[in-house]
Formats: sequence, structure tokens, C-alpha cells
Amino acid sequence: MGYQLREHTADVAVEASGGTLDAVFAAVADGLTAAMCDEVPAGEGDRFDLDVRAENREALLFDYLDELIYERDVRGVLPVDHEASVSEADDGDGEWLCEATARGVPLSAVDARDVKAVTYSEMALEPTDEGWRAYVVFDV
Amino acid sequence: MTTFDADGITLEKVRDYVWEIPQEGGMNAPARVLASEALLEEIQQDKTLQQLKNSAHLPGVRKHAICMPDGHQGYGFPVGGVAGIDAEEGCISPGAIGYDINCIPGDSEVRLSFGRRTEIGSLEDKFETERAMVAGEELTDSAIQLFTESGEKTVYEVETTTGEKIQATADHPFRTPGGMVDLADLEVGGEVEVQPFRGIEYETPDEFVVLSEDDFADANPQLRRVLEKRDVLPLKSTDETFHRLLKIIGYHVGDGSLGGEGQMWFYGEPDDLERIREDIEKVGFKPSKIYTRDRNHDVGGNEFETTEYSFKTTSKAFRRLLIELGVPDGPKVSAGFATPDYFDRLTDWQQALYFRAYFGAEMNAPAAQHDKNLYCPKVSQTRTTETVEAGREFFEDLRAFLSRLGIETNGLEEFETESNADHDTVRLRLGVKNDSKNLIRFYSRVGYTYNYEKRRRAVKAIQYLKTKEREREHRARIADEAKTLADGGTSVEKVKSKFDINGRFIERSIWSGRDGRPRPGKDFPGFDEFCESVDTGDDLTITTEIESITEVGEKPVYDLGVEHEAHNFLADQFVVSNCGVRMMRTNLTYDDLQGREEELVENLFSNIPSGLGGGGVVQTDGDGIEAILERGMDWALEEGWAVEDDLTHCEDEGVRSEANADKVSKKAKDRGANQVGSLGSGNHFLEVQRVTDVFREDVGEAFGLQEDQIVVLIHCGSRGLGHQICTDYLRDIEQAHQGLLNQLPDKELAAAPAGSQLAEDYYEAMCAAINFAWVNRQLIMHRTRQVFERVFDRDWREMEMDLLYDVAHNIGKKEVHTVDGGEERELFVHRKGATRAFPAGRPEVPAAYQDVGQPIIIPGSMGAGSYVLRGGERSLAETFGSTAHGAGRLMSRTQAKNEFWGEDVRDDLREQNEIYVKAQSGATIAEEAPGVYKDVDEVVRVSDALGIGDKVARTYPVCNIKG
Repeated sequence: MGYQLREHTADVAVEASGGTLDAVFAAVADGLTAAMCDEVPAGEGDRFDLDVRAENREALLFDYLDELIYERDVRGVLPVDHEASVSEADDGDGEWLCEATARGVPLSAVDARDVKAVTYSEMALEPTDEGWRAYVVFDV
Repeated sequence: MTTFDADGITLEKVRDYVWEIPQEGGMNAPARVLASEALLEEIQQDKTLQQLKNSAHLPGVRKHAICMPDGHQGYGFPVGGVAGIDAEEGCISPGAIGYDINCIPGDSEVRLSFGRRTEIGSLEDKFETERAMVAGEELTDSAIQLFTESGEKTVYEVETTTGEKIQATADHPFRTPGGMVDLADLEVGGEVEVQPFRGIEYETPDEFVVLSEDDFADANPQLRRVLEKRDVLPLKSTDETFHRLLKIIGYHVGDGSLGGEGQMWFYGEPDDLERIREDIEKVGFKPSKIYTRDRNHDVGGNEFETTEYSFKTTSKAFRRLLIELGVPDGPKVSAGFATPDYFDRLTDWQQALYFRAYFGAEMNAPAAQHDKNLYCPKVSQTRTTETVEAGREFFEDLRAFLSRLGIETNGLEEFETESNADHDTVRLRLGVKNDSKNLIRFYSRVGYTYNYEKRRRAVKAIQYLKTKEREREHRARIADEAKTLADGGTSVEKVKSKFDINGRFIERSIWSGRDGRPRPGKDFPGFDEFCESVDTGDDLTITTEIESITEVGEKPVYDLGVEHEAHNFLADQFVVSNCGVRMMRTNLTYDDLQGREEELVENLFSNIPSGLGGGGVVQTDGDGIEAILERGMDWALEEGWAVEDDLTHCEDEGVRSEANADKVSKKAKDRGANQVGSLGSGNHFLEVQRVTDVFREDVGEAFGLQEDQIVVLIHCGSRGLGHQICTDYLRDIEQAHQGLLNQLPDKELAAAPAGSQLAEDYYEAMCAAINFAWVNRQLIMHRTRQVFERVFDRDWREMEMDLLYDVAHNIGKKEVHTVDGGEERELFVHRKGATRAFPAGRPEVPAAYQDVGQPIIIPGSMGAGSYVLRGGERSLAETFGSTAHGAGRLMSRTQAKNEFWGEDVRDDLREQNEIYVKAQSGATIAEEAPGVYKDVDEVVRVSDALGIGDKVARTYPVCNIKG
């Protein structure tokens, strides 16, 4: 359970697993943080919320990570300590929801590098015997 | 042939440095890698080659998808990838022909291959396996690449004077004699081109085994193997091959014969025989060439000569196959054949394949019986009295088939004929009733196959008869009105004056009445006259006049795109952040700089924003971003961040006029607002360099480069804004064009069909991002000038700090190139990690470099230096005018961080190479260490040897700052 950074010639890939969709989403996001920063200071920064809605689970994961990168640039913070709650929207049109929170550490307080975008390249989000596995390539 | 095996992908050597992956599977073009064997070894180590192959699946890819010598794995498209993707659209719509069925309501008919039609809405589940008809140079079928429902839109109905009707959205293009015109720009009275053949409603055929091994149990095993190898045993009723065979046997029953052992002969006009040969080849057999033979005839004492054309097949397996399928095994007159025994299990459209081909061979062409009436189209067969019953069965099946389609026939005629030596014979004949409506139905649903002249005449006959019907209806209305007026007391003279028609016609209408509808007027042309006055294109289209265009309300509309030539897609994701490089000259020499490196690097680092969250040279607001997106370098000039000369040394003079800030999301603008004038991080950097070598003196002079001179290289792009645009459109395209996406091997290759709204929007947004990128690099350059002023205490103009050139290397652009067959076409040239490399003389090259070719800047890694090239003579022919963009990564960032320690790398560079590096993050230095990149010398050597980008100068780093 958790994430690992994987080799990718030009970019960075995160492989994550979790017992539930909630856990695997948060684990990929933690992987994204790790791809940007090696040492995250504990306790610094305030938590912020984000809600994402998309037409399927893969798209939801894509949009969730995209939203984190956006919040990073606009708020000027490194999002860390991710929590995510993933569910199918109950209004019946088959859409999926991700209600998430993260702690935003000011970029001035960390030694962080840019991850420019999330990509669909080789993306995987699939059930396993233990829960879920995800693989996401980030453009750096 | 030399080949290179790369883990499942075989490359064939075309010549030195040129390797080709042949076209296969869903690829729309072959792929090429331009590399030495040493570079190829490196390229094959990650997924570059697979990604290159994937990119060749994009519809409309022309010539080759190309990988530059510095290629490496990216996402979707490889980095170092170039593709020229055609910029027009193609398809056929019902009735009126559009080059793309852009947006038409769900109940509109689409013509499919094998003479079928279906409602466009019904294609949703099966478009991948269907083929639609396309009016290209000739009428042909093409795979369908794309199906989308585009929601409710306002739809208009266009009706022509010959009665074709089509509904479509205002932006749906129609083919007219003057080219493609959007519906909104059509006018009543104007002309459009139509293809009046409609075909037969598609029904899913029952699947059954038509022929199995059992049918060939008595044949020798060799023969069975031949058939199995060609995948015709077992033969199923749903196989495409079966449908071709139905056409072939239908024609053979009409105009074929058995020859000597194993032979099958086909007779007809040379061009028509060519089409039959093509079908036979597609089934898997090899027909002979077409033979020509002059024959003398003597009919009733009249001698004349004709030329007979024919070809044969000599495969025993093929002959046996056709006989099993129903070709008479022996002289037709006595073989006792009827329609094939499986016929009653076929759908109408399948039966039509057989009958149309039979008609193509046997039925008379549409012709005037007298003046304005056409003959009955007829077919006849002679049978021996012993086998006449089978003949009657054949015609009964034919009559029933036509009747199911609503086409009436005359009764079956039987004539005694002169019996031949051995048998008494009977001639059977069936004709299609020749009233106009019946003939229109017959020619537009059934008609002929293979015989081109008959098909052409049939198109003219349909239009003639429709015109004639309208004329008759028009006259009937006048007759009615005239009679009503007269009955109401209007004088005959007055009635006559009301209508622009022959007075006698009015008199007859009022007084004597007539049986049935009036005939066409005297001036109405006869069929022959009509045929001479109209032309059908080679694609069997014909021009007709628009009678009305009416709005018919909101309807859900569909979008269909075909693969055929001229189809064009804008591929999205491999055009990324418009990252590029620029080089600024100075008149300083390395001597001037030595001893001040430390001061310079510190000053640059503290004045030029870099890294994550580092802000920008300027902080803008919404209006500022809008202005930058729309006006690019013009904005920088107005705001005092640039001089005129800077603009003339950018591609497009630093402004993409197609840019539209409204097409850029608020999210993207938000991200851009605090990043205008910032390096970012990763592989982006600013470097002060010295020129170490000038390889081409004359070009070096034109570029203002000499040895020992100090230059500044800036490598960065459109930052978060460009990436956000890309992400936004990738998601939109994913949602709107799911059908196309499902067929592509990688979701990251999401593409919007050219001409679609999304493609236009994306192009305009991308152009805006390019404007942003220019401004970004300009602000950094201008800040560098200020830093140099401070460090060297001199005005930057005095130091002649002029822009050499600014080139983007992640970019998509509309350009005209010569493609296969020497044709000039507008392409969307996608360069992802590749640099435009136009040679001297190409109009896009700025005036200053017209005679030598455009400068190309190839940034290397920190320790290896960079190159300046110029556009090579061969670039247009080989690579759509492109070359490499840098050294290309060799090692992943994760691995680099494990192998290198940032501070060690920095100290080594300083001590051993006299290179001063400063970065926000030690990890960035490790990730960008010299050893993680390909050998830039080798990349440039290959570019130079291929003549796509010629070596001009080499530079070596002095100071380097990065994020």
C-alpha cells in the first residue's frame, strides 16, 4: 500500500496501491508530492479542500491530480498529506466524485521542483486482489 | 536489406541514417527513425519506437511519422517526433455531397460500401467496422475513423430542384462546382453536387456457413489448402470476401465463361475489367492481364469488326470456388442454373450485389426509346427446353427481389428461338417497367456494378427522370389553377396571361381536359439532349440547383469522419507547452567574462525567476494576460520589454495572429498570471556560453557568430499556462471524440478532427500559448540585458546584445508541404521536441536569413555545450522541414538522482570544466547532469549528414542557471 516513483526516461511515473479507491487516490497524490519534493516539513501550512467531478474513475483521477497542480500554482503551496473520498455521484448520471483535502506548504518553505502536468500516457487504475492499483505518468 | 531488431519492432534500413518501420495494422503511414546505429541503440531502450508507431495511427498522417536523432520516450507522441497531418476533411453525405458529414441529424442516410445505406445514427455501435462511400477522384469506399454525437443543434434543410433533400447544420460543408462551401454560405439558385445513387437499406445479414470443407470433400487436399490459406474456407455469409464473390459470380453469370482446364474468363470494357480484377485480387487470386482481340462479325450480311477485351483466372481452386457458389458448370444454355441455392437466406442488399453485377454485364444501358421516354431495362437468357424451368426460377427470384424493393417488372416473356444443332431453345426476358418513378427507384437503389458507362448513364437517367417528373408536376399544378380560374369566371385570355406557358396548354386544361398528368412541354429536352448537357464527374457526381434552404429546428446531430485522403485531424497532446529556445548575441568575448563568472551567475540567478513558485519578471492581471495571449511580442514591444529588432528575429515575428484568448480557460490564465518571465524548472535553463567553433564561415557571418564570442541561450516555454491549455483540451477532446479515441493505441494521442469546432478552438488556444511563450522568453532576455548592464557597467546596446533567433520546439503549425505524389497540401505539422529547420528561400524564414536558411538552436546538456545549425536543403523532403531539438534524455530523473549528487556535479563542472552552475534545487542539477543526456555531437552529426540541419557553430557553457 502506498506509492513508488517509477523510472520514465523524460518524465516521472507514480505507481500506487490502496485497499480502497479513497486510499489509492490519496497515494497517487502523495506520489505526486514526492515527485516534486524530497523532504516535506511537518506541520507547516493550512489544509484546503477540493471537489472534482468526472465521467469515470480514470478521468476523475486525472482531474483530481490536475486540480492539485492548479491549486499549487495558484495558491503558491505544495499540496501534501492527501486525503480523498471517492464515490459515484448519487444523481444517477454515472459521474464520479472526489472530495479531497490537502495541506498546503508554502513553496518558499520547501525545496521543490516543477511537475507541469498529469498525462493519460500509460495511465492505469485497476482493481487488484488487495484493492486498487494506479499508474500515472507526470510531465516534468 | 539491413534490418535492426528492436524488441519486437523491426526497422528496415532505407539508407544511411534512415530507418523505416513498415506500415502495418492500424498505421496510416510508415514511420521513420533518423539515427545512426549508435543512436538507434539508445532510442530502442525505452518506448520511443512503440510511441512512434502509435502516432502513425493518427488519421491523415502523411508520408511518414518521423523520429529525430534525439528521440526519446514521451507521453503519447515520442519527444523528437514530427508528423505532417493533412488539413482537409473527407466523407460523403446522402444526396448532397459534403467532404465531411459534419453535423447531420440521426435519420440522415449514409452511403456505405457494397451498395448499402444506413441512418447515420445507427452507425454508433458499428462504425469501426464499416466503410462509407467517399467522392474522391472516383467514387470509393473508406474506413470510418470517427463517430460522435454532438448534441442538439439548429438544422437546416437544403432542397434541390431535382428533389434531393438534406438536413445539416450551418457549418456543414457541401461540395459545389466551386469547391467546398458551408451550408450557411449556400444560396438558393446556386449549384451543389450530388451523387443520386442511394443504395439499399442496410440490414444485418444472418450468419451462416455458405461453404465448408465438406463442399470440397472430393477435391484434392492441395486445392482445399489453397482456399483455406486465403481464408475462404469456411466461407461465412457475413464475410467481406463473400460479398466480393457475390459480385464476381453475378458478373460471370452475365459475361463470363469457363475456358480450358482451370480457367475462368471475364469479358467487358478494359476499365471495368480492371475493377473486377481488383476484387479478385482482394479475394486472394491472381487474374491474368487484360487481353485484346479483334473479332469479325457477320450479322445479316453486315460485316463489322469489334475489339473484345477479356482476362482469365487459371486457379483451379478459384474456379471450383465460383462453381460451388453458383456459377454454371458448363454451357449456360444447358447447365440448368438458377440463382445460387443459398440465395433465399441473404438480405436484399446481399442479393443486390449479385444482381447489380449481372445487370452491369447483361442489362441494356439507360437509353431513349423516343425522345423523352426511356426504354425498359431488360435482361434475357437463352435456355434449352430441358432446362427452361431453372431459367424461370432465376427470373422469378429476380422479379421477387425487385418487387421487395418496390420496383415493378413486366411479365416474364418467352420466345421460341432458332434452335441450335443440339437443342431446342427458349429465350426468357424480363424488363423493368419504364414509368419514371419506377425507373428512378430502380436506378437509384439497384442499377449496375462494374460497368462504368452504364453507371454513368444511370446517374444521368435518375436526374433526367426527376427533372421530368418535376416538370410534369409543375404543369399539372398550372393546369389545375387554370381550370379553377376559368371555372370561377376568369376569361381564357386572362388566364393565359397569368402563366408563362404555351396558350394551347391552357386551352386544353380548361376545355378538353386530358387523361392523366400533362406531359412535359415541347421545350423540355429529350434524354439524349439532356445527357449531352450535363457532366458526371469520375466520382459519378452531378451538379444540381438549390431550390430552397429552410430552418427546421433543433435536432441531435452526428459527426462522422473517414480515413480517405484529405482527411485531417489535429492531434492534441503531442503539441505541448510551446517550449523553445532563443539565443542572444553579444560583442563580448570569453576574455571579457573570465574572472566575473561568479558575479554574473549570482546576479542572473537572483534576478531571473526560476523554480517552483518563483513568480515572474512581471506580475500581471486578467487584462495583462489577455493582451499577452492575443498580441505576443507586440505586447512586449508596447510595454517596453522589447525593441523592434527582437520581433523581426522571432518566428512569425513573435505574434501568432490566429491566437484567441477566449479559447483559453480561466484556470490556465490563473496559472499564467504569476509566471510571465520565469524559467520554471526541470530541463529549462538560461546559459551564458562561448562560441568554440564556427564550422561554416559564411553562415556564421550571416548569423553574426565568431569564435570566442559570448552568447546567451534561453530555454523555456509557456509554463503552467501552456500545460493547462493542453490538459483542458485533452479532456474536452476525450469527451467529444470518444469514438476516434477508442481506436487509437494511446489515450494521450487524443485528436480532434480538423474542421471541428474543438480543433479550431484548440489551435487558437495553442497559438495564444505560443504568444505567451515568446513573451516569457523575451522578458527573461530583457532582464538578462539589464543584468549584463549592471555586471559590465555598459549599455546593453553597446554590448550588441541582439536576438539571434527564437525557435519553438513543441509546436503545431499549419504549413504547406509536398506530400506523396508531389501534391502540395496544407498540413498541421506537429513538432514535439523537434525544431523547424527551413532552408534558404522558404518564405517563412526571416529576411535576415533568407539567403542562408533559418537558425536552429540545439541546446545540449550542461557539460556538453550546444549547437547552432541552419535549415538544411533536404529538410523539406525528409522531415517536413524539421530537425532535432536537443540531446535527448538517456536516463530517467529517478535514476539520475540515484547516480548523481547535485553538489558533486556542480563542483565537478566548476573545477574541471570552468562552468558555473546555480540552481534552486540540488536535485535538479543531479537530474540534469551531463551523463543523463544523449551525446549531442552524435545527434548533430546525423542531422548534418542527412542535410536536414547543417552545423554552423558550437558553443560551450560558462554560466548556467536553472530551477
